[in-house]
Amino acid sequence: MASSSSSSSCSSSSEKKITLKSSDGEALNVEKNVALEFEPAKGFLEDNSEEADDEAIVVPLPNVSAAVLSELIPYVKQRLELSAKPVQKKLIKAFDDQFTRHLSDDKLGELMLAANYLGVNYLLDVLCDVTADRIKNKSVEYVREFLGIQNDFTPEEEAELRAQCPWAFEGVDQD
Amino acid sequence: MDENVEATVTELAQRSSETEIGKEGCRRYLPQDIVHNILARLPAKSMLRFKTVCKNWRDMITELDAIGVQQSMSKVTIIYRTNESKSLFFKLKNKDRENCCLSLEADYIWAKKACDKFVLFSCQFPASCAGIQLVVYDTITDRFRQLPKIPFYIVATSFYDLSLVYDASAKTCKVVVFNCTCYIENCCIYTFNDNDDQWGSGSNENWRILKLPCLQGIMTSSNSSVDVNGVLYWIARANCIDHGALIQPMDIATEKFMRFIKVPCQSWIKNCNLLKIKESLCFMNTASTDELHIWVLKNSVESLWILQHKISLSSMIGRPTSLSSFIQHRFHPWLVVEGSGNSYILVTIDGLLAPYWYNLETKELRQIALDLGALNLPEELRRLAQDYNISKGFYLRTILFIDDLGPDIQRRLAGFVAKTQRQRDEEEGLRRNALLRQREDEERVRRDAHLRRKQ
Repeated sequence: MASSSSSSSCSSSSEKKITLKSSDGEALNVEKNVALEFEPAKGFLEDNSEEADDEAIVVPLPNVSAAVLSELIPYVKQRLELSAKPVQKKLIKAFDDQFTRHLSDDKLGELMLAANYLGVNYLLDVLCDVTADRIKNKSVEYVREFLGIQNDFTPEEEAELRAQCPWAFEGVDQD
Repeated sequence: MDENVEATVTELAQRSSETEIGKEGCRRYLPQDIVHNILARLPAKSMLRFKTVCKNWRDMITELDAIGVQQSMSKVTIIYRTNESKSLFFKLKNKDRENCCLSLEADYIWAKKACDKFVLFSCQFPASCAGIQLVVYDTITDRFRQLPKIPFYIVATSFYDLSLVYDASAKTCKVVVFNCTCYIENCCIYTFNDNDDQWGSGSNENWRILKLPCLQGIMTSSNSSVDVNGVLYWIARANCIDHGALIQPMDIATEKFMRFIKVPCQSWIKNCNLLKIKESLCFMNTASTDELHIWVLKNSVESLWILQHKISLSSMIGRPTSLSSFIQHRFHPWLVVEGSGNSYILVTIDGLLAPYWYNLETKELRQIALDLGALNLPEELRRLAQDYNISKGFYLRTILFIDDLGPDIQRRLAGFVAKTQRQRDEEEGLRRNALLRQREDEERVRRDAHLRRKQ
């Protein structure tokens, strides 16, 4: 990873590398400050702080695949760099937009699960916003399909609920 | 840590087997707290629609909705004023309890309208005879901007009406002023962009005169104009019709007028108001001594209305004994707070004092007890405040639907207006001085020439 471009005078902790082990057994090297953004990794590192050599530590993350991790790590890294500078909120928002714009619906779900598990709340917020935005004008059927939800209403119950507020079902986007 | 992870994994597996989600769904299965997080970001209409997704969602949305209604109710600020130009701010904390703040200002400064994040203030200084000044306040960035002088003469006691509308997509805000003393041909409109750099000072843009499609008398009541889906509606009397009222729609973005909408009743047009309920235009009028009707507009081209709610004295729960007739007493609606379950209208009776929440579904009227005891007020104001519902010295000015409006804002606003006024006066003074000097010079030249001729 080409992180050497950033100033070399910063604290040594950011230069140390930690190994994260994904659910599919792949090992990924990340800077320690990035790893500390992930709650399970932070807890693990604190528990094993007596070990002198950080390089030797391997943090298992059994709920996240290597594919998702390799998307998350650059995001968190850049986001950290951004928030370290006195930049405007607008810029961070633009960065978030850029990150989420091209995500497929499947990827969005996977990332939400990962962000939730890893406790990266700022990312989870952004992803929830994007999801809400993607489904807000859609039909009920589309939303069930989108999130893989089983309809547990009887047809009568559903019809009754719909009849209570027919206006809410008007002006819905094409699926 | 590992134990936690294992617990989450098994919990997830259990949950998905419980809800019998197939392999397809399992891939996208989201835990409850994430779904909750997403639902909380949806607009009201979508929430209502998604109640039919599944039982779990229905329950979560019902719960969120109750919280949302509470939050909306707590954004209300009620402002009273006294005969001595003192004002009382009440900020409701929820539908029953409330907090209150107070201010003492000799100047005439009133919050008139609120929309989205903006509040429109109208101010006048006792010494000034220049008419009222309008100032817009942005509650998010906490900045003011002064609007230029209104092209016609309005003082604090004039009969006029203001509308404030915000188009979030275009980031433009529009202020419309109606003179209500007579039948009018024109109203004036002012537009500004949220992103321009004129916050904190006066605005450069000027008012534009907008010609109305016909001569009309604009009606004033607690809620005589409302915007629904990008269209501003107001109640007007057209000159050609003796008793009836019409509703004039105007597209906010293009400023084009649409065809008049006939009101659903022509016989009794006093005490009528426009409301926005469930994204539709509603017309509220007095039908008889003991009934108010709320009509919903179904088709604006054919002026097709459906009678949606009847507010009747006999079925009202918690009716105060003083309210014995809808004709003798005025029942003023101010704003609507709605969730997907219950809708509440904030009303006052006879336009005076205590406000109530009226629940459209349960037909319950509940007084908002404004607890003055909890306030830490200076003695003089405490006395005023205690008397406020006896002496009738206070009367209701405005009910705003916005957070964080306190006396401090009024004080700072007064400072801002005074400053911009001073700047304007100074500019005016400079210009006048320059003119005077020029005239003096001319005079001197003329005098010199005259003297020379004499010699």
